[in-house]
Formats: sequence, structure tokens, C-alpha cells
Amino acid sequence: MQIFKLTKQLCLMTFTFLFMSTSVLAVDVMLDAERDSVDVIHNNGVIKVKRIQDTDHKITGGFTKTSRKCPPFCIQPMVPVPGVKPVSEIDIFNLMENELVSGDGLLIDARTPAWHQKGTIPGSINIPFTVFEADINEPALQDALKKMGVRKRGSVSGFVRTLEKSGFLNGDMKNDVWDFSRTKKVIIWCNGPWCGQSPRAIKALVELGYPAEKIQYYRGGMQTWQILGLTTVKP
Amino acid sequence: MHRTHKYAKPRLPALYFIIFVILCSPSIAQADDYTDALQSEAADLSVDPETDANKPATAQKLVVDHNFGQEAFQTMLAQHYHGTYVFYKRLSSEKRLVAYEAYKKTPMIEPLRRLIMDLLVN
Repeated sequence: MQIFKLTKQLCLMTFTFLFMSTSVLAVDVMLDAERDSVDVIHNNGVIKVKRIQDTDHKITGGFTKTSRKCPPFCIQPMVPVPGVKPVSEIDIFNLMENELVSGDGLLIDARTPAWHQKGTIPGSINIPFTVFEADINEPALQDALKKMGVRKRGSVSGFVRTLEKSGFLNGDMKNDVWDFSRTKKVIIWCNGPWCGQSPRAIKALVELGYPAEKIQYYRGGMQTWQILGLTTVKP
Repeated sequence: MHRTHKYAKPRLPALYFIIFVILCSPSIAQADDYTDALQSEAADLSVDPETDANKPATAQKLVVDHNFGQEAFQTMLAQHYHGTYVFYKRLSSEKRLVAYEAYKKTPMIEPLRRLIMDLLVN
């Protein structure tokens, strides 16, 4: 009789524990089929990226606007430059969990500071598109490229370049000014499908010689990020 | 002397003309238009405050058995806090133990997240 009572009590406790655990831990709006949130390092802190859990919530703020004058705010193509891959939010979550932790990747907010200050995707660094369009001797451009794993080459003689071009020396991913052999994977984004800032940044980077296959374009940008109720942060 | 004076005079209008041409060139005018438009759009902008990570939120206290082992702890992280688990997996076994022990003392997910990131970074 006592054993029966004890078993019953144990069963009840287990049931209560399981019920309470699931009720506390359950998330109604997950990020994708597997993840309810992603942790990302932002300005030496940790931000938990998740979605708004209120299924009745509708977005407010500037990203509710449907139309802006075109030009300049024209709808952008999926691929801004051949070889650059368009990516989704899931690729950003993967970058946050992997390359941002290992230091092999960067998430770049290519908007001008006025936009960035209003709120950004956690884990992003702000490198405005204008920086990539600057002169190659501009310190801001050199700093930005350094963060992306690009090294500025010293004076390279014509002889060395000839040997590199003919294959006698390793000249892969190098041009007269920059060495792109250790570049990081970057996802570049701006305000959304109507925003030309990140496509311009991407075009300028490819013109500098940055390998297109190392660049990914998050066309959805802040507009889609907001529509999905994903976490933002003020820098 | 008279010659030098003759040369100096026509230079100024030429300089003004060059500056005028540069300022009126379509590429510069376009760039300014675009940055002006960007500035004015950004001025009206705000993100949805509900998405702001710094919005005050209630701490999430977990209702779990404090005596559960490290394996159960890992399973719980993998199942319910996949993001945190990804970072936890990158820790050495000693640091994983530190995280587990800390969680046993304070079974709160936020401090655990912070600790795991600290252990990962340092």
C-alpha cells in the first residue's frame, strides 16, 4: 500500500515537473524549425535574437511605409553583382552561430550612420557604402578592408606582378594594391529590397577585387527583419 | 612687368569656370541628391520598439530539478536553447563544467548565457 502511494506521488511529481517545464520553456514563435533563438556577440555583450511572441502584433515605425520615391529608392535585383549570393535570415542565424564566433565572417550594415543609429541587426558592424566607394588611400576604407581580412600590399614591383600573373608566383586573389587571399565571408545588408546602399557597397567591393563568392547579399534587410519581428539593437 | 599683369588677369575667370563645371557635373549632383534623400528618409525613421533588444523584459526562471546531471543539462540546452547550446559546445570540458555548476546554483537562462559567452571569449 505504501509502495503504491509512493509511486503515485512520484508520478504526480514527474507530471507536474514536465508540465511546468514545458509551459515555461515553450516558445510559440520559433526562428525556424529547430531554433527558438540565437545568441550573438554585439559590442562585447551578448544579444539573444528571437521573434516577437505576440501573434497579434503588427509592426510600427518607419518600416511600415510601402512607397518611397524611385529613383533613388528603387527595387533592387536579387543578385547585385554576378557571383554574389542572395541569402535569407536563416543564413544570418547560421553566420551568427558560426563565423561570427570563430572570427571568419562579418555581418555588415552598409547604411549611412543616420540609419544605423536608429537600430541595427545584432552582431552587425557599420561600414557605410560610401566608405567602400572612397579613394584607396582613404584610411576609413583601409580600416574596413582590414577588418574583412584584406591586406594592403607594399610596393610590388612590375617584375613580381609579371611572375604572379604568369603563375610562377602565387598571385591568386591578389592585385597591384590588395591581397584578398585571406578574406572573410561577409553578409552585407541595408534597409530592404528598395535600398541601394548595400548593392552599391557590394559593387564597390567587387571593383576593388574582393572575391564575389565571399560576399552574400541579404536583400530583405531591415524591412524584412522588422516584418518577422526579429530582435534589433541600438548601437 | 606689363606682361606678367597681362597673364594674371584672365586666370581668375578660368578658375571660376572650372569650379562651376565641377560643381554642376551630373555625377556630383546625383551623389548629393542620393545622400540628401537618405538623410531625410532616415530622419523620420524608427524601428518597432517591440523588437528592441534593450526593451525591459522579465527574467526567465527555469523550473527544473537542481539535482540533474551534466548530461541532462546539456540535453535541456540542446532542446530548448539551441543558440546557447551551440556556444556551450565550443567550450572545453573544464569550462562546460563551470557553466553547469553555475547553472545548478542559479537556474536562470540569462546569467547562464552571459557566463557561456564570457567563458568563450576569455
